[in-house]
Amino acid sequence: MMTDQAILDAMSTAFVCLDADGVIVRSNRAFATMVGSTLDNLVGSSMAMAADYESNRAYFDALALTRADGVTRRVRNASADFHAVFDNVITRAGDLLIVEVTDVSREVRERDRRTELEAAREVVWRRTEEHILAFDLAGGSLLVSDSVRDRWPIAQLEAAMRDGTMLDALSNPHQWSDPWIDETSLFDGRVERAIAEVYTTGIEQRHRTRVPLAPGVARFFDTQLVPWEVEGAVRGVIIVAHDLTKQLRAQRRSIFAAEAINQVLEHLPVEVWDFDLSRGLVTPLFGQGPPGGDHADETVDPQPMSVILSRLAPDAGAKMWGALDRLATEDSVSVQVQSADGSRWLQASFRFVPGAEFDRRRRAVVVITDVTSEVVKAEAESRLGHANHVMRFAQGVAHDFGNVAQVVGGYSEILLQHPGPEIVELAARSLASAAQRGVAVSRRIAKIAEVQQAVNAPIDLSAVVGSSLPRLRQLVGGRVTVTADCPPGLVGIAEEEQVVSALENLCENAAEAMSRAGTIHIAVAPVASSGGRFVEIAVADDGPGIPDHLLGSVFDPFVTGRPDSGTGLGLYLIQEYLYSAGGTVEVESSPQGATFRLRFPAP
Amino acid sequence: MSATVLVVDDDDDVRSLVALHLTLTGFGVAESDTVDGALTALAAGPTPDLVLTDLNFGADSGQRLVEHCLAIGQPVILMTASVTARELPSPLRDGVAILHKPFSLAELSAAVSAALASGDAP
Repeated sequence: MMTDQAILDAMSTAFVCLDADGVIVRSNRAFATMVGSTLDNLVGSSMAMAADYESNRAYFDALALTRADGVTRRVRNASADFHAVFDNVITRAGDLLIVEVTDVSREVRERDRRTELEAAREVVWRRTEEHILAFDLAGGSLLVSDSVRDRWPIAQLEAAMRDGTMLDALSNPHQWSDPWIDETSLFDGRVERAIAEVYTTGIEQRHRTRVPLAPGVARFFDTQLVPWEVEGAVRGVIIVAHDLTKQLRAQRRSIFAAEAINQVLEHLPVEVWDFDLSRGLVTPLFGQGPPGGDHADETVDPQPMSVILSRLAPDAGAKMWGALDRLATEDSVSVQVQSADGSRWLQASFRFVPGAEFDRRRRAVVVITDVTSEVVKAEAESRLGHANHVMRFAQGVAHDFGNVAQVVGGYSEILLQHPGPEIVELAARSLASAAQRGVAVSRRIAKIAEVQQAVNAPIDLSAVVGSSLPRLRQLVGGRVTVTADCPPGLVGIAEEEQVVSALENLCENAAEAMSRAGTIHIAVAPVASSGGRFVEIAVADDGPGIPDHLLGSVFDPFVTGRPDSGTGLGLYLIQEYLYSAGGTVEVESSPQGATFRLRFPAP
Repeated sequence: MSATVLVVDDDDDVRSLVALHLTLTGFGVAESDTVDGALTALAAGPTPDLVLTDLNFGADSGQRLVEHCLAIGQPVILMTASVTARELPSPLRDGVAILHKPFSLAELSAAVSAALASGDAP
């Protein structure tokens, strides 16, 4: 008996033997002290009768049922403080009921912990930015994060999981290519296959997937497929999909933007070339370049300048080489050239690129721009300007000859009505004066034709200025000094007679403007501008300058600031001449004097 | 007492001609070769019965003088070599008697008489 008791005591499971009255007649170590008392006492002292009425009622019901029908029953109850959970197996042996009691607290806690963990995971899933789908392929269930449930049509997937059709598909690898999910509903066949592979091999995979949501609408995901392992066995596949749509859209937008910029640039009539001045070779940097197009991603070998020149008019070569020569002394040079077919005007701007010291090559950047519209506009403006010129000129002529006719006609009438000697003398003087004015105006008008017909050729402008100085000094009289600065050998395209005539006119005007002694300084110098290279003759006086209200119109015909009422054609003629010679004339004025700059094209 | 006319023109020959004709036909005549001179004369007085002015003074314009005359109710005739009315500044197209150069002395006398008559009317 003692030996039996010792064996019983050594059992991990406690037990009690109840007689028909519910009195504990025997127990092992755990409940030894309770022998002789009723089970009510036992439960009342150690179990949560009151706290867990339902489980305890089930327990006593089970005891009564087993006593009645002899069927072994199993029920669980908890300790009063809920810290312990007991598993009770009730068996009948004759009149006795044997209750085996096992403490299952640890297992229950472990299970609870797992449940909590899963609940926690569920919370994480709900809140995650990523979309999680857990295919419990062994259990046939599908867990999805809310982000998936909210957005994706997963009913079909769930149905497939419920029906086991997904499992069937996965268990027959040769059927993987048969889509078990409608392609437009969630995944394409590639991911379906990937799920099967991960399930069977247990090896993680990663894909870029496209999920069509509606015709023409799709989202893109970076999808990770991870085997779902439980106790060393693959139970399913967890898919974590990171939504790349926004990112891809942004990326695509930037690609589109870059593409759009390229498109715009391609249609812009701009091209940029690298010019190796030392070797005379060009390399397209940007823009149209030679036929063959896009050079953005490739290195293009330097080519001879003819790749540019072949597209241009025959005279472009001389202009371009001339511009390159000028780069020796100037930082940037521009020339206008015509396309080979003469339909477009192009401006080639050369800009010297200062190289690194170790780079012996001299390099320039050539920017070729289509300036056709500007040139056409300038020509239209020039025509309009010319029309205005002609109109003002006509008005001026009408005015001057109107006055002459007025005087002639008026005095003729007076002479007829008052033929007295005083009137005759007065009238004769006025008539002579009017005749003189008529002659002066007609001479000036004749000069316009002369100006237009001038034969312009390369002449040494320094020499012209030098040789005309004595005549100019004579013209302005002793009170005005004429000085000159003319470095030898400055050649411009002009006609000597016109240049001298212009100098005479400017000096006369200047001398007239200076009431007292003064100085006229004539300087000859080479100048360059965007329009090309010129030789400039600057005539500067130290008189009072040109009144502001006249400054804008000094070159208009019949405008004069001279008190002797000159014809007002002198500066107009100078301007007409210079325009016809391909040059320009400009005036600057301040209270310290006026400067006229006559620019003649350099050959 | 004869009427007085202020003749304003920078062209000496034309001005002298007009002045001579008006003198010979019995007017009192004052002359000025600039707009500023005429304005000064008007301000200083005595006020002439009529102002006869050129339009084109080179850089200056007789328009200033005409507008001043219109403003103070001074009868004025504008002499101009401008061929068409379109060339005239718009304020001068209406309400100002215009003598187009070259004009005959008979036209001049008629215009002066008309201007003086309309000036006397009120």
